[in-house]
Amino acid sequence: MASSSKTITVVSSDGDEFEMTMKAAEQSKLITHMLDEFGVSDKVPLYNVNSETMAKVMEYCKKHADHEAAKEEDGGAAIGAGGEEELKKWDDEFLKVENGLLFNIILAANYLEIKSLLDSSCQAVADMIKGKTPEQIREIFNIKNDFTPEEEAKLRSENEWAFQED
Amino acid sequence: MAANTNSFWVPPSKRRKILLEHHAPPLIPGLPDHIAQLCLSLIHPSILFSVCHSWRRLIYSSSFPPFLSLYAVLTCKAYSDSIHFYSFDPISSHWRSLPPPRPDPPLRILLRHPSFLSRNLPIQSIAVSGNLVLLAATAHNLYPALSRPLIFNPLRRDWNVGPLLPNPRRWCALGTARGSVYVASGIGTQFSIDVARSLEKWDLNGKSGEVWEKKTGLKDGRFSRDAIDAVGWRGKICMVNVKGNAAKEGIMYDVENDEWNDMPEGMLSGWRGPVAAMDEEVMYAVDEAKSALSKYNAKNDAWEEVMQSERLRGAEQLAAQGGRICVVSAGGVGISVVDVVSSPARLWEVDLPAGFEAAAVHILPRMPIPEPPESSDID
Repeated sequence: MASSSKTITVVSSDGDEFEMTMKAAEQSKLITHMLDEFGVSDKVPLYNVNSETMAKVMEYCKKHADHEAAKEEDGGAAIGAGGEEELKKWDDEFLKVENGLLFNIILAANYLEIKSLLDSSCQAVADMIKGKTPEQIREIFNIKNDFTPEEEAKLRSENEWAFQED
Repeated sequence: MAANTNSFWVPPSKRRKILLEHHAPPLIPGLPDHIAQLCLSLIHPSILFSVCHSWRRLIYSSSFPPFLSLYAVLTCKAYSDSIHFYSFDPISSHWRSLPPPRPDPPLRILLRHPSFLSRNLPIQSIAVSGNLVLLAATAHNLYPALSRPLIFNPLRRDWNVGPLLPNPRRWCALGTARGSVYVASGIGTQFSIDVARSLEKWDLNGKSGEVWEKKTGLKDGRFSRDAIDAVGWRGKICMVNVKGNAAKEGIMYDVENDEWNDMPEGMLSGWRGPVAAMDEEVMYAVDEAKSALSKYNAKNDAWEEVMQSERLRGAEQLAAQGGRICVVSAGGVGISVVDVVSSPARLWEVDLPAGFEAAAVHILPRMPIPEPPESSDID
């Protein structure tokens, strides 16, 4: 495996170049695969990701790569018991962006195959929905209410004791 | 009306294509549908149901995690030898009939017989590993109606048969633990002490193949008199030999050690009606005389009352999952659902389709539906 001081360059759809360490690049299965196939000397074009989103993804990969490296050192002493929780808090703050950017992060995480980022960002969308009324949900996501008045009236009396899901 | 015939079923991927071709609105504007589904699958379907039609269709599609529904084995007063299978979807509050079992061999059940006074002859079914299994009933010639279990899988919407039972039963002690079905005791064509003492196991995960495995039997035939709902709980199959409030004996089968043991005194003394175990971990019982639902505390070997309600009087059978206890009411005339997570516990009534009575309830994943009905019409 290449040493962690080695870096690669990725190029966004806007043509901007971003440098990332090998360890950070390993967070993305797609980039890892491309490097295996084509070597590290060339710039990696990621034309599905614009610069604004790319900057966020770079930030995420760096943070998670650093976290992993710290875990490997000292047998995890550097991270400590609260380390995972702290990382989760960092992820939550990191994802507090407006919807457009959040969606782009989801799409980038999906395209770049960064599973942890895909999971966290999808959960962030789900968290926006939890605890809201149907009207509030529609507003947040710009969804048309296509129920008839009769259907809306029935909504109130339906679904009072549904089973809990795991 | 639900379109559920095979010729109209469209696979989800093709359906997405068709939807796109007709410019259907995206599930979440700004995201492709397959990604939006990742987000929406993290939300309880009852929330999704209330937002818009496309989110409502989504929770019924086969690509979406299936939510739990109530399944009922029903009998019909008008056609007294027929047995019916329905599912109640608590999200839309709608009854749907299951596709009928294959007509070959035809399923004709005897429900009433002069020698059994006013009680119905038993029909025994069970939920195991996401399947509904019908295992014992009586046919018109007073022979066992089923020589092999009938299995309904909600996600595939199809019926299959299980392995041939060495001694088909008119009734038995029927329970499930850790993905296996256990059939003990009971009566086949006529009383046999060997059958009355027997225990057979069928592992649906198929480690031993499609067979019934003989296990350590009971020491006598004391458990053969009645149909018994045996309860799988913490690696044991628990049962009592008399229904209701009368004096009874209790016994537990240890599935790992293949041995029978006595039931703890406290557990036995509180077993005065139907019993079920949530996740095979927490045992609930209805005291049919006191009309009370209780929870078993294993550490203290004692029962703790959860709620009391007249609607629980004479309860006949229980199912427990997803934080709810479903109860077949006295005489099978209705179903109650108790939320045991909320404090205090709450109870709701579920009306049966007109003209039917409930023989049993179970809790299983909902069937996928290509086009869910827009209105809730009850039969």
